[in-house]
Amino acid sequence: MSYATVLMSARMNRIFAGLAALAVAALIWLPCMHFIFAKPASNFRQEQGLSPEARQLAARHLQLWTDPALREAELNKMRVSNAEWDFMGRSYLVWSLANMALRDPVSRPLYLRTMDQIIDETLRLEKQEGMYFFLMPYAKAEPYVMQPPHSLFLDGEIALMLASRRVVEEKPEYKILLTERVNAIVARFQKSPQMLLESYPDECWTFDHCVALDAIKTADYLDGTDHSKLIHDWIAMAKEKLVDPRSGLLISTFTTHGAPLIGPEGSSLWMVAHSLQLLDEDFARDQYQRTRKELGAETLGFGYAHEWPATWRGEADIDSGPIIPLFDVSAGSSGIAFIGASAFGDDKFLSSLAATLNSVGFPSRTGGRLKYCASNQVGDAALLYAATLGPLWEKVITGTKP
Amino acid sequence: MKTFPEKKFSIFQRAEFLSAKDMIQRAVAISGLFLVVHLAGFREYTSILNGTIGSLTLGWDLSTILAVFYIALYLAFVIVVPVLLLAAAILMIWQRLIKNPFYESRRNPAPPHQAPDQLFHTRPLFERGDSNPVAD
Repeated sequence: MSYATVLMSARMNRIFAGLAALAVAALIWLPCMHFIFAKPASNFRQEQGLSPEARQLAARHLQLWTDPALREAELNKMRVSNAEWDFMGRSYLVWSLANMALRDPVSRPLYLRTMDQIIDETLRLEKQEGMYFFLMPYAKAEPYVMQPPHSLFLDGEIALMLASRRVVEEKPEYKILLTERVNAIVARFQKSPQMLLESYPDECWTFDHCVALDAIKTADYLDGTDHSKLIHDWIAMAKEKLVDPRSGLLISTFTTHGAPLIGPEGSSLWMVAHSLQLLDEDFARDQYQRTRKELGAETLGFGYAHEWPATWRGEADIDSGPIIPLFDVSAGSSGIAFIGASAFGDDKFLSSLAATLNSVGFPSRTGGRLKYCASNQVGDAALLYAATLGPLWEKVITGTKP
Repeated sequence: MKTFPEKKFSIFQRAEFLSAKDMIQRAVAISGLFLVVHLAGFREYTSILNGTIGSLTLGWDLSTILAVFYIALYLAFVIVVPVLLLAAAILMIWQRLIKNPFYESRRNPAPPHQAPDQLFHTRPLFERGDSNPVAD
């Protein structure tokens, strides 16, 4: 055997040994990797009080609302992509603060002050700039079917902001504003033959209907009105017309005649299931379980969510965020999945989602404040809502008075 | 000129491909690069993962490039580096095992006429005529 052959043989042996060692190492490391990032679900959400994660996320949001320059920078970055996010970031934050005020009475004055600041500024912008300020540009492309134009997206979320604040503590000015907003929504529901109201021209969203009905239900709790028939009729209509027969999931978007535009999408459904808890608990649980089965996923201990079920394929859009191939991960759906998992006490899924968030959400902690760099203000506000939700719904469902 | 012993800086010398030393060198290089981009604040640009621009000043294109660079190095740091270090450890343990006289003898068995204890001590510690190192 020549020297070159011996050398080549030794080299091949070394490479083969190296590759084998890499394969064994990967087999050891990959299944264990999630342990580095996994934390118990209680680190994210607690039954009583506030979790460490919620406190740190809230500290960051409170800083944004006390530092106008910082807030402007954050909101401008989001508005480049989607003006809706500016608005939804406010909604999720107000709903979170309402839950936090009920969980942590000591800090209630601070939370109430911040809620009022957000609500007042949002109402001012809506009045000053018009409803299109918080909508995507295509809202102006066509006239709304129902005139005068209204967006249920804005009306429903503003109404729920006002109602949430009043559940924590009554504010007479907001009582008038809430009643006006709720009466206007109810009047349009009665005017619509299909009970389907637009968020964009001839474009209706299940998400927005559920949030608006949550606001109406909360107003009933606060003011002793009764819209239970309206809510019952809408749920019955949704079960009949808005459910995708193949997956049993609620579709996301439809025309004013109920024709589907976008099928069941994760970035809506997790929140829809949570919203339904206030309206029809059984239907809500059924939707969550189906969404969990169709869209929830876990690989090597890391949880995530798809945007579309296998039975309805769609494209990535502004709501889904970029979809990561191979695993079909949607950032939008995975973020909102926290709300579903938290609302339905799915601690195993919540914990695996948190492992993913801690690994590729790129957390950044400074001075007791937490933000996720891979997220944005609306994403972090939705996470804060997932970490704090519970007491607000519980009060309305049980009828416990403030 | 003051010279350093060669062995002291052997970790910086080019190692044979896929040897334990090569894997450690690669792990160190990835960790070093990741540390640099992390300290440079590239983490802030990862908001592109949800479709939000990383910086209005830098614009979409540059923000995206910085984000992709950071994400790739981060994934390499949390996935590839531990695998490289574990593989290096496995290789080193394996190499020690195969150099161990016990395993060496198992791979190259002694002729059958040798006594069993000779498998471990093929040459007595002291033979007649040797100097005794302890006594010396």
